[in-house]
Amino acid sequence: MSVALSLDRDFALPAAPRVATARPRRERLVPQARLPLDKAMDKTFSAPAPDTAELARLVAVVAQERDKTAFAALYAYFAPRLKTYLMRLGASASAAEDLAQEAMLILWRRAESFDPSQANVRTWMFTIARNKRIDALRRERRPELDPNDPALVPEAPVPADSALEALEHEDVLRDSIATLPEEQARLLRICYYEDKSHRQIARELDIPLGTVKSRLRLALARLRISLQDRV
Amino acid sequence: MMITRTAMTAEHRPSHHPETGALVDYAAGTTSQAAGVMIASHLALCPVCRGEVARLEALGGAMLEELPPTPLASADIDALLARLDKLDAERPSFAPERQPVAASIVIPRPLRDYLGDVDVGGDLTALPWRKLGGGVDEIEIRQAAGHGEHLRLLRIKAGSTVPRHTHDGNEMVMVLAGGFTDASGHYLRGDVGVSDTRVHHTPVADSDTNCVCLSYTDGPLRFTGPVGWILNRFIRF
Ligand SMILES: [Zn+2]
Repeated sequence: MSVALSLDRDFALPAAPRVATARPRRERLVPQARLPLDKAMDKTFSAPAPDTAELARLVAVVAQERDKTAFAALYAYFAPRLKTYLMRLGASASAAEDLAQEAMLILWRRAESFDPSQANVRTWMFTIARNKRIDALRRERRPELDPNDPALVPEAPVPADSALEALEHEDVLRDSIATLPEEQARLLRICYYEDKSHRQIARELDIPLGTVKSRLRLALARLRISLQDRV
Repeated sequence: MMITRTAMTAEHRPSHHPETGALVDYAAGTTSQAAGVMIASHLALCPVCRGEVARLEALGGAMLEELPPTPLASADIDALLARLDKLDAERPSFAPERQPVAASIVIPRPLRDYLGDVDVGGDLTALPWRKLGGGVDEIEIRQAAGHGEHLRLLRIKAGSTVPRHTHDGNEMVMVLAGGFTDASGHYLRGDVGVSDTRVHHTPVADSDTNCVCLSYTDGPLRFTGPVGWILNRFIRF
C-alpha cells in the first residue's frame, strides 16, 4: 500500500495543483505502480519510513508473491540503515554495503520463514545483519540456540496477552529510548554500535566499570527489558 | 552410571544467571565466540534469559530506526534484482547451516558443536577428559577460545572441593550435571556463577554425583589452596 501511495505522493506533489482532489490522486496510483522497477526504487528511497505493520505486510507480500516492488520498498528502508549500522561497527563503506545487500538477499530467501506473530521485521533484520557481520568481519561462527535441541528447557507456557505484549514491545521501546537519560541512551548506543568490552567503555567514558554495569541495568530496567534483579 | 533423561533434564529453571552486560553483548553481537558459547548454552537451559535476549534483540531492532540512513553507492538495482531471480532458480535454498552431530540431552547444542564427533552419551564419560589431580578432570575447548580466553569443561568428583582459586579476569561457570555450593549459594544445572578478581571462592561439589561444569575465563586463573600448585602446573594459561 504505502509503496504505491508514496510513489503517488512523490510524483503528484510537483505536478498536482495545490488544492488536490481525490480524483487525480487515485488515477495516479495505477500508472505509478507500473513504473519500471528501477524508477520505483528511486522513488521509494525518499518515501517516509514504513511502520511496523507495513513492514510485516511487505515481507508477507515478498513471501507469497515474490513481489519485487515490495522487496524494493523493504530495501529502500533497510539497506541504507544497515549500511550505517555496519559502518559504525567498523566495516568500510563498501564492505558495509555488500553486507547490507547480503542481509537483504537473506530477507528475500527466507521471507516465508518469517513469522510476524513471533518477531518484528526490524528485529529480524537487525539479527541477520549482526550475524552477517560476525561471519564476515570477525570470521567467526556465532554460537546460537537450536530450537530443536533435545537439551533445550522449554518455556513456561505464556498467557496469550503477554505474547502480544512482547510483540508490541519493539514499538514501545522506540518511544521509551527517547525518554532515557542521555547518559543511559549513549551507553546503549556504544554497546550496540561499538565493538568494545565494558572495561574499554569504562576507560573511554572515564567512569568505573561498576558504573557502566549499573547504568546499563538502570537503562534496561527502565525499558522493561530486564524483568528481574541481576548481579 | 547412565544418567536418564528425566534425571538430567528435570526442568530445573536456573536461578543464577549471567550478568546483564553479558546478555547485552550477546544480543548486540559483540561477545567473543567463547563467551558466546557460554551464553548460548545458558540460554538453552534458561527460558528467563531467552526472553531477556529476545527483548534485547528487539532493542537492537528499535535502535535501527534512529540510525541515519547512509546513501548506497551502488545504484545497480538491476543487478540485485537479477540476483533475486537467480536465488529463486536455485531454490530450495535452505542449506543446513550446521553440521549434524549426535544430539545430546546433557550438552546444549551451542556447546555440543565444539565437542567433535564423539557420542557424548548420557554421562559424558566418552569425552577426552584429562586428569588434573585433586579430583578434577578437564577438557579444554581451544577451538572457540580467543586471545587470553579459556573455555573448558571441568569434572569435579562428587563431594570434593574445587581448589580455592582466584583470577585476574572474569569467570563464568555453568553447571551441566550435578551441582556445587559456594558462599553465594547452591548451583544446579543451568546455573551460572559469575566472579571477578575480587572473589576467592571454594566451591564444593554435591556429594551424590560428579559435577560437570562449563568454565569460561578471560584472564589467568590461579589456584591458591593447598592442592592449587598441582593444578597450576597442569592448567594451561
Ligand atoms: Zn538465565
